[in-house]
Amino acid sequence: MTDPREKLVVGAGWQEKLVDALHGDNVRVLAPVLTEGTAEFREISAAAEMATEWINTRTPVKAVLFPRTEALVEFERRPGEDVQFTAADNEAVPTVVLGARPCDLNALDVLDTVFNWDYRDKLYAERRAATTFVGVACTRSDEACFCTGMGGRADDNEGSDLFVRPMPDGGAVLEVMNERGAALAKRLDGAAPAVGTEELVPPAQVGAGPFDTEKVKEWLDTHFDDDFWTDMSLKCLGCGACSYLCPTCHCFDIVDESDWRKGQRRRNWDCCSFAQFTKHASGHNPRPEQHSRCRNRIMHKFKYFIDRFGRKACVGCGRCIRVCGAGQDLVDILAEITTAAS
Amino acid sequence: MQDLTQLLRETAEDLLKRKAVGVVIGYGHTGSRGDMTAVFARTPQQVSQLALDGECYRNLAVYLNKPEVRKLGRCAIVVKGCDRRAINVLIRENQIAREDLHIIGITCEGVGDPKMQKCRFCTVHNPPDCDTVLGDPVDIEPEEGEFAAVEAFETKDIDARWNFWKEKLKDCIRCYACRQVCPLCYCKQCVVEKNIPQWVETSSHLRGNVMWNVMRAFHLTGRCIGCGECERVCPVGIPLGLLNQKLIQQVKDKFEFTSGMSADEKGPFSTFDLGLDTDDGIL
Amino acid sequence: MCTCNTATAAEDALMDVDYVPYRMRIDKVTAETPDVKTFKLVFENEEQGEAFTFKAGQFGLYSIFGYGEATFCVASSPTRKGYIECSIKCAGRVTQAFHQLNEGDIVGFRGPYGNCFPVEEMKGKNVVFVGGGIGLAPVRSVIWNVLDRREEFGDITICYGARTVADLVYKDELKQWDARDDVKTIFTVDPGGETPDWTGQVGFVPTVLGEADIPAENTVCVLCGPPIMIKFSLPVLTATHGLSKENVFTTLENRMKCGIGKCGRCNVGNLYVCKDGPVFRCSQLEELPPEF
Repeated sequence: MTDPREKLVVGAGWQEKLVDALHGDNVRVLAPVLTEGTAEFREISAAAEMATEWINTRTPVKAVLFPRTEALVEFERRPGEDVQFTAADNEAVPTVVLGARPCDLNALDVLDTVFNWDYRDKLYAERRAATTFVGVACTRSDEACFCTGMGGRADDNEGSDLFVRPMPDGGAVLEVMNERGAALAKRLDGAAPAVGTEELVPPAQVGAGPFDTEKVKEWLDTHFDDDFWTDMSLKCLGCGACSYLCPTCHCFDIVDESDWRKGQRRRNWDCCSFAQFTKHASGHNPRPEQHSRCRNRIMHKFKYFIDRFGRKACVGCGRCIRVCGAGQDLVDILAEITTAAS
Repeated sequence: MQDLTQLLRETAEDLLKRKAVGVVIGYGHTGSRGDMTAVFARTPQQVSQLALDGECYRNLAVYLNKPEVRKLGRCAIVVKGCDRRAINVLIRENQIAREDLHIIGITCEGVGDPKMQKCRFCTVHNPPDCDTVLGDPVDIEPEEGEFAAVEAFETKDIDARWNFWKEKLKDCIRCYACRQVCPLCYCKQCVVEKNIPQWVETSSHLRGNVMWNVMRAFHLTGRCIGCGECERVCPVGIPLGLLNQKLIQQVKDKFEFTSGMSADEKGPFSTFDLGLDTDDGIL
Repeated sequence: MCTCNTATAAEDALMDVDYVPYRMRIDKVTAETPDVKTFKLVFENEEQGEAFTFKAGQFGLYSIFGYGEATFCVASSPTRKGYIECSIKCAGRVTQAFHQLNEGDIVGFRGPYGNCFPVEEMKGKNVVFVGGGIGLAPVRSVIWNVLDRREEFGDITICYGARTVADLVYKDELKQWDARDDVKTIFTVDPGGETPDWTGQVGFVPTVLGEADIPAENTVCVLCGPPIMIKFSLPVLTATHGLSKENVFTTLENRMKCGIGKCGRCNVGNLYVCKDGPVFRCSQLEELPPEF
């Protein structure tokens, strides 16, 4: 939690006003929209399209900055001529994301770190600069949520440009966190003032107690070789669902796709659980077994990333638990490691 | 079902104690959430993790393809009738030998709450050719026709059907959960991972997604036993069962063949009988 | 290791990566062995070519549009300006496509990325180069770098081997090095790989390396080749010749996609081979999990 620069209290109807104002500015507005029992970030044209009751979006907010597939280079080969190539048109569209959850916004810190340390990823950086994130406190959670286990909370304003604390009557307390949030708040000038008290919808209760991630790391530091990895990975089927939908996972592949004449070099999400991920053309594979790949995923989140960048790469959004077809449960894995470490 | 759990544990304990198997692959309520997931009992002490109830919806046959599991030794595996069919296909396609397995069949009235769709037209409540059978024989009539969902879908016109699939397939993120959970997707290197040439585009744009999902369905034609695991695990809710069910219908219709009913059968695409071929062909 | 990853203000613009490669023209193709070709690439844009610098050991991503990118060390020496060379063994999709290319064709290059061999640290020292097969490519960059500044270094020994005579790369250069008085050369082929006119040694690299006369004091080694060769050469260098593992440098070849510490493919423990490597001291490798 960070102290906001400024607080605004607005009455019901503020979202409509904001969305309309942004459309007037030709800004793209993304918000959670309900689709078949789940919510996804979609472009909306009116605030009414926005979900009112949702726990979290199926796809994390990372996809706005780091889409699952995108063109990097366009190329064309005309008969008798040299191949021509140019950067793909990736101009960042000015965007406001409404209704992002605190866990997802917390995860942007991990992505910011990776895409900017040393070399800067231009595509990510430009999208990041063009996007304003409006976070909203969670008022509901499900049994997979474990942000509290990772040191987060349902009403954490960290990572938001503007943070929304909803009130029962549709009004909200808005916390301006930075310059970008302030610019957005300005568009709300003249919004209906709140009526009555500033009573908030209570933030969601999230079950998971805080994990001692330092203890987890201590164990990981000394247990690269351990039967634990074989045991925990037997269940894992080696798909990419957990990583793809993880708000902090950022591995990618670069591939060329073309017909005979024209094509693109594209960047696609990739995943360290895949058997082929590290396999060399020679056939040598540094991580040949599922347990080595499962271990890498856990190590990366709770050891390597900390060693390297000083923070863990998990925010407790619970998506990996919700989507795992094999019933793998990260909370249980961490609990087991904690027990083993004690 | 408590009795069955007890019976299963006794069976598993016996098998492990006399070293008839190295691992019993079964179900158990593991973890803090109590979800029914796969359990790999490797010692007599571990059999207490095993359980049986109406939540045994996973098809554990997929684990027979994992090298890490096969390394544990001869396998005993808990199967429902539908899962048993998958093992028949694995045997007929020479992926595993019958004698390398101890099959613990459980009779099944259907799993899931509400009952999974595949259970509503199931005809293999009593798994055949098992080494141990747990549960009383089940004799219930299907609640609906095998292809009810396909027939309902086909009342839509072709544009509506194509739009439906476009809408669904555009969401595919190419996590390959469908492939990884499929007991019959056992290729060491999937065609999508072969890149000389790159047959299937790996990008998750609509073109690549249609190619991938249709290619996979085609590859399962005459093989898929309809366990529905691909659809169950799809993180973006693509109704892959509908696609597979359509091909199962076609194979039944054109070849009078239902996959996985016995281990001796030959799949329609792995046999060719010139005498039966009345088509002029393309040449 | 070296500091070539640290950006200066002038290099700052290069630190923004959009994954669009330099446009390179193939100036020359040399068939080294039945399955290795060396490609000499020149910049189509002269300004880019003049601004381009790299250090021995750094790598890049070479690409053919429609086939993709593949990672190789730059095999030419940074002291030779205006072009880069890479030696490519025919193995996967991209490398097979490279072998179909001719002089004049256009390819892409992104780089240089990664750290480098600490050539400055080697000044005044004896240098032993040990290469096996195509592993001579990154070593060659350092060899020429050192030979072009010969007076700054002590004794120089080049120990190179391949499976057969046909598998030796840079055959002309092997002759040039052999002919020099200021370089000691040991060339070898695996037993059974010799031809009637082969004048070099017959034996595996670690064996001939063990018999070589290498000064223990003030000596550093650059060691690249197949993992099995590295595994057996390292104890020869340390136990037989008395080098310390801190002074033996090698390169790791984990798969990479981005080359710039983003895509997550090449990690070994908490290190990115593309950023913290590809050059490592052998003492460093011992500290890493065995995932390379």
